[in-house]
Amino acid sequence: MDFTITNPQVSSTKKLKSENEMGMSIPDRISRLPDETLHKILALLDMKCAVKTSILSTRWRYLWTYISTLNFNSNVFLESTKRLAKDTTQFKEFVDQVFIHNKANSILKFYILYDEKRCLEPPRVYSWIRALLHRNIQELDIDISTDASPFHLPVGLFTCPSLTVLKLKFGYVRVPLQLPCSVSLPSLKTMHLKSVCFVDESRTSKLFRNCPVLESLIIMDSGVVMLANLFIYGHKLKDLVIENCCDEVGGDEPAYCKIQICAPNIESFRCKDHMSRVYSIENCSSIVSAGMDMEIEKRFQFDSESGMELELPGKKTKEYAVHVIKSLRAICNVRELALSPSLIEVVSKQPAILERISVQFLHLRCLMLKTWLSRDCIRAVFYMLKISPLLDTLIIEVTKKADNSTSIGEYQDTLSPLQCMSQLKFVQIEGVLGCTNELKFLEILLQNALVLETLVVLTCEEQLPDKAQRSWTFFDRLQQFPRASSNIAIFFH
Amino acid sequence: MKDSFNPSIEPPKKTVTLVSSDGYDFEVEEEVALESQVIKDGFEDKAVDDREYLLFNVHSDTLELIIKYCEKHVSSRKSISAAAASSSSSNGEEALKEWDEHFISVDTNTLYDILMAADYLNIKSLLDLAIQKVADTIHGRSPEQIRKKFNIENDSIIDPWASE
Repeated sequence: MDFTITNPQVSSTKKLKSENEMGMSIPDRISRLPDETLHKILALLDMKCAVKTSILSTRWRYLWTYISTLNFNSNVFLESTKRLAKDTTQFKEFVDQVFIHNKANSILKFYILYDEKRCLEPPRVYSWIRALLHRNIQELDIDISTDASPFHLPVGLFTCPSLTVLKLKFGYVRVPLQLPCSVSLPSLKTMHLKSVCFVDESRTSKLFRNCPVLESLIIMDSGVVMLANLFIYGHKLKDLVIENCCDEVGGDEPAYCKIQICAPNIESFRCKDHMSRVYSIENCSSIVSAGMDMEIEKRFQFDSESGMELELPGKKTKEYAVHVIKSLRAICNVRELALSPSLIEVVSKQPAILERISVQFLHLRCLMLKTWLSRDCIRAVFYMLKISPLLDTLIIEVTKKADNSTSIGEYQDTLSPLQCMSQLKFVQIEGVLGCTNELKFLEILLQNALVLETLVVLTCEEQLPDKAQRSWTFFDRLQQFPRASSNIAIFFH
Repeated sequence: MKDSFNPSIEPPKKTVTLVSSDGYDFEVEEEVALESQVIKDGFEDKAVDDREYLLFNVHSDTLELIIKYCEKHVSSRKSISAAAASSSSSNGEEALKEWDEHFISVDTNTLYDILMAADYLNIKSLLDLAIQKVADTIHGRSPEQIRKKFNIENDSIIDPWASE
């Protein structure tokens, strides 16, 4: 037997001595931890809590000045104050003081959350970031949800070699992303941008192109009005989220910024946008999971004067369908797919286009749909099932469409017999109201799904006057439908 | 019995012996022991028939917990990657997180023992878990409450922050 593991605590004898000198009688084991470990503990705390530990004992007095992770949260700091001007000023001064006292060799992580009504002066934030750039910052997370005058970010931020995480989240007033002409973030793996405004097309595309190891990119609530194209190129990109790009353009035929994505190693893609925007998605064969939360342009949703829902012009429906189907085709290798009601509605109105382009989801296992069950939509859902031969899980959330029920139309069985659902094992349908089309849909499903094991039917949570009665009738009829699979468990709630 | 720790018998797996500071032998599977970076680092240099480690900083009570943690993590990792390979959905990672949370819900003394052992054996995930637990304990407590919780004696003669 030999002793390969040596005791790392060489200083334990020294500690015991000082303990005796201090005359401690109760065992205080935490204070005996090595400095390094205590720094790690403090690094997990909000800075206010970390600084507070300095009064615990002499052992703790200066520990906080050596930590390399700084977390500031205005909500924690101002917890018991009246949030007056002097309190918010104190917060800013507190951040300044921590910077002044910090003796760590580098500040690896800096996180600040500030959501007060009073704005944080932009020059202050600028100088904090500047200071961090000189301290080998790796993770920078700035969440300033206040409506302040525009911030300027130091240009050095976009050439910082040590940066691995960059999160910039702003409030209602979007912050223009003033990029230098040469951008280089060689270590950046995560970039989250919220409420920024892209101002220069070629520099913006350089920003993504010059992050060679970028894996996660989130762009939310950001302005693209000044660009004709937003190029997102990421060789290592795995997760991409694009939500609510803002165009703010008027006129009858606005020209929206086009979004071009090239990500050969992408695994997950979430997108929330209107269907007028052109997405050009290349090289996404490695995709595993996708969510397409596509909507109708705001200007076609409601009449601004009467508040009434508008009928979408036929020309637009066709244009939308072409865009959507093009995107679906680009991501046809997915295993998990979630689609929005408007998308299904648009596709259902243009079955000819869908069939002509002949998309197939040959790897799709799990499909999550939000849709109202109009005649056309049911047809679209069955079409989706038909082109997804390996699907084993289907989850449908029934939503209500606000307009008159005449356009719903009773679903007539025109597709029988269905050559699909051969692998479908689990179906869940939520928000069931108890109407004819729902029953019809389930009837066809039960008739055709050969290996279905579980059917979960969840009724709508709203308390309707005759809900109990309707549910009972619905369940009764559901039970009587012939079933293709001999082994189905039906759950009804 | 502490000194005959042998969880599975079926395939003859390679094992190593860990000896606690109070002299108990724990026979564990190789891959479980290799969760410790310290054991891993010196592993190749050791002869196959001499894979015994004397851990004179870790008491048997703590070592038992540490082994339990490592075994759980080794087996969970296997089942998570198996689930991913067969593309069946699993909540393995979430379940493991819950297990971790339950595992680390111990009294301050035990928490300290786990923390020191994880540091000594260099098991990063366990060290992070223990450190997070200590931080959670400090968070939201007043200095006086923290002192009481960890038995920290205030030895400052003049407390410059006393007015706060």
